[in-house]
Amino acid sequence: MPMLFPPDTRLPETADALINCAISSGDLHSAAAVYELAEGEQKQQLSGILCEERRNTLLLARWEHTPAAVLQMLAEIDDETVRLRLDKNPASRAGTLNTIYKKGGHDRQLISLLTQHVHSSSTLLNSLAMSEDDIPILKSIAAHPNTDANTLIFLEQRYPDMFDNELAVHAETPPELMEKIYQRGNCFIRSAVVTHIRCPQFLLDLAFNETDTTILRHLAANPRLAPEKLANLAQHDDVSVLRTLAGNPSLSKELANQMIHNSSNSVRRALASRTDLTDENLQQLANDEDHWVRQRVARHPQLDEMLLNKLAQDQNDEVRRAVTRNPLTSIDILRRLSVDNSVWVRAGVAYQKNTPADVLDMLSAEDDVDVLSGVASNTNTPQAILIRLSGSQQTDIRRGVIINPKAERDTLLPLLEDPYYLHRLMLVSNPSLSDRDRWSLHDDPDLSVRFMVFKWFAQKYLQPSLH
Amino acid sequence: MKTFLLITEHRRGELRPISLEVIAAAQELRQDDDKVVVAVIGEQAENYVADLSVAGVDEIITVKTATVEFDPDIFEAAITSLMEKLDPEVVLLPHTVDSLGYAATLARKGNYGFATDVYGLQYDGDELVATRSGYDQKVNVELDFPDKQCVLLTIRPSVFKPTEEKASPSVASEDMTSIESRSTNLEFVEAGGADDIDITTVDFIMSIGRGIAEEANVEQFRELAEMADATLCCSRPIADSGWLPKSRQVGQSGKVVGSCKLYVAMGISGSIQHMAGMKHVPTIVAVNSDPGASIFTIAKYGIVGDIFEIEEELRSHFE
Repeated sequence: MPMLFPPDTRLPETADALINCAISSGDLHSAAAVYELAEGEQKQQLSGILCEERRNTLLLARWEHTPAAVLQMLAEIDDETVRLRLDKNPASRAGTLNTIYKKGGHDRQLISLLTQHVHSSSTLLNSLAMSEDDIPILKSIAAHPNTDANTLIFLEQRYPDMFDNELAVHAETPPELMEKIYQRGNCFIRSAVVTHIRCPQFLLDLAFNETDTTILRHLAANPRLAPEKLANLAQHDDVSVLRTLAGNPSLSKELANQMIHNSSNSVRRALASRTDLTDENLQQLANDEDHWVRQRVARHPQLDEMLLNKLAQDQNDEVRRAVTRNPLTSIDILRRLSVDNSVWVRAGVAYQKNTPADVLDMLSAEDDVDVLSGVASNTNTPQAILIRLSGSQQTDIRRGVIINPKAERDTLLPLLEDPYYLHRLMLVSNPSLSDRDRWSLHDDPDLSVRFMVFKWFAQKYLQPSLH
Repeated sequence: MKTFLLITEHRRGELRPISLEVIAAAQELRQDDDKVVVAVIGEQAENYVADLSVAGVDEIITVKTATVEFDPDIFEAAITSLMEKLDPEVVLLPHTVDSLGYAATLARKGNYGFATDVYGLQYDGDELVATRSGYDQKVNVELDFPDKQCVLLTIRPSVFKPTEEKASPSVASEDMTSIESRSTNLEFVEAGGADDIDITTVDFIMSIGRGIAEEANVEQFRELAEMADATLCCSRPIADSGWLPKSRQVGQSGKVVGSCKLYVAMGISGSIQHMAGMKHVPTIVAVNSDPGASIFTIAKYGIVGDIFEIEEELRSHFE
């Protein structure tokens, strides 16, 4: 690769110097990164670099990391292919999409993409709902989260029945529309309506008399269901209805006690995930024959030492592993599990934030990648061990050090030359490194690393308070 | 008439599936009067004859060597000796970590035509044309080998479908126990790992990403994967958090799921790094609440929705 920057390129002390550095390099990605920061003549020069070759323009229009300001500039270019790529780019903002619509509004493909884009504004969607006749396009509008209630009502009036699937799940669908949809809908549409956060109470009551288990299953999950209805559903013989009921936050303690004896593993698993279980419930579930139930108990946020101790001796590896992941697990138990026969259990100890330094030291002598990655990313690991692990031959272990917020500058410095580009990319924003350290990556052979360096410095000048 | 020499692999007493795939690859090239010779090298090479006796093989040569496990020096010397004897026009090897240890040396020493990771083979007239990828899998590159008497190719795994049709090829044996290795094996260490599943060989994967939000939610997807008879895998952030073993990580930092036929991506946005490990899968089903997620650009079926709702529906289906 030809050298983009002179060898003596110094750390730019000002925004102006940073932009000039990107301009003099002629590097596409460095120029894109600082574009938002520039003004006047410098912005013109950067535009020149970004648009000099069409293939670069097309590349930037599609690249998911291209800054919004660059995408906005590209939207002004009279090039249909560029516009289509901008429309598919999730990073394009509402302003960019509006520009695209104004410039190429007659294009069917473009409009179809606009109605699916996450950043399309409610105004734009409303205007398209008024002017379009194409059903797939209108369907996209009905499904779009930014479409407002008035537009949804308008669409329903224009084509009754046509968009019920979309309207049943849309957050903005008004209650009166929901009633219409429920009355004429099939079991799936009714299920969606009873799950809707704005579903009127009378529809929930209506649904309670349904016989279809799909509807009842969805109904059973609704926390707004009255206690007597929950009790009634608890007598149902369908496992899926009982399972969702077991997870309903409004379920009373009495019903939970009753359902804990249910013969279905699925029901007891759902119960074991509840955070409002009594000590007796937990005791009982900790002895459950199904290991998935015991795993959930082992992770429970209100478990006492005695039960944790019991589950730490469970014959199932995954249950012991779950104990290592519970923040309440004592250091004594962690010490015991740090010499467990299962490597996955030991890895759980290595990742646990309460594991003390001496245990991590001992685990660092292992050769398993999961255990060592856990040690490398654990904030209790002594710096000397992190330094040793930063020289590991295994990529995952070095990455563990990089993502460890307690890794100090001296530990991280050798990793600036890590052979894996993603690691260098991750280091750019590491707060333990100095600006001079991260600037050393400005001429990195990987374009995404160069981009990230220039973007980091551009953001520093745009929003100094964040850095 | 051409002679094709095919090299097979075995590990810990079992023939590796790629061996039969190499035989299948040779069928793309052979014509009626051509001869396909399969070599199996090892201390107990004769143990693999039955498995290798499939349609399309004319002869099996068992090459007895002094070591049980793979040794690059011994393979290189044994194949060199076989090539001198058979004078093949084409030598096909598995594209594996084993062949990386000797194939290039073999090709260089013999001045043979050479291409690695080949997934397409054909004759254009008399000219052998091999297809491999270039520019990080973005383009197919067709290679020919002008003026080469012999061409050595390593074959990409999980591309050529092996035949199940049995046959009775002739069997010959060679004793090469006198070949010495330059390596000294001090100790055999079993590769450690939190679980023993090799995700590169499974055909149905359910994979989770950041969308699962917290570790406690992993269990329900593990359960679902078990119910669906799928292997649960993950994207990098999940493995980096220690929520699933590194051996389950798909992508540039993890593994390429070479044999996967169905990949269900739950809550995975689809970074370039992740897609590098699975974009080749014929049927990708993506579930993500963000309609702009990159994963949808490669998915055959996409569901814009809450992964927990979809998980719930699938669970009810399997119940």
